[in-house]
Amino acid sequence: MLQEQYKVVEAFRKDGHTYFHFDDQFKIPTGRGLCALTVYEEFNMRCTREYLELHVKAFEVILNSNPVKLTVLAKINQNLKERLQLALFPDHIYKLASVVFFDETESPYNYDYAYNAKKIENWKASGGMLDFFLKTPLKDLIPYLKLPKGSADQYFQVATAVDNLHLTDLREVLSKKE
Amino acid sequence: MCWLAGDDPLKVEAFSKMPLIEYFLMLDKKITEVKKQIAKRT
Repeated sequence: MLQEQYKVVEAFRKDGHTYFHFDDQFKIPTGRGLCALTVYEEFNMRCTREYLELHVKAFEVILNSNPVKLTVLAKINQNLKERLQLALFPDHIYKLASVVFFDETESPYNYDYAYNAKKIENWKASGGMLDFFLKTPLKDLIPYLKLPKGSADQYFQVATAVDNLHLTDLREVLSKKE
Repeated sequence: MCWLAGDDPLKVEAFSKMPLIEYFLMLDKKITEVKKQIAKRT
């Protein structure tokens, strides 16, 4: 039962689920709101926590190698620098959307990480969701979600390719360790 | 949230349902109190 102070409205329907969001995105419950801030932090860093964990592990592997491969170290550092200059990655949009939009089975007060990982996978599998999210109230929360009209698809393709390249570099370092 | 709730599960649940802005106001108040206590001890 939702408290009277909150107003929830239907956002969209997808694959048999009805998704809702809070009418006022700036008046949301603490449980869900703190998760939104965590995602926002990832936005600011242009790295997911998973990426940073991989980066730190790879950095340690290189430091512990003999001789220390400075060129590889410089490359992964350059990758991190490059990320800071990019606008955003598709994963960030999916994550933020998963906090903002909840289905009829979820609690509006809290955020279930395991359930939402599956929700994101389903959205990705459906296709066309990124473009859709850019037309929702999500764009009001993050000013740099406003990409030039018609260029969103192209931008996301490039961002995904860059993300994959960076991840490949990190995984290559880590695979040599094992 | 657990720190502010004194690890009381009922309080944690209540906090998770209150508006985020109200939660931050409470947190700010609590931090101000703790800072005052620390200042008194030192």
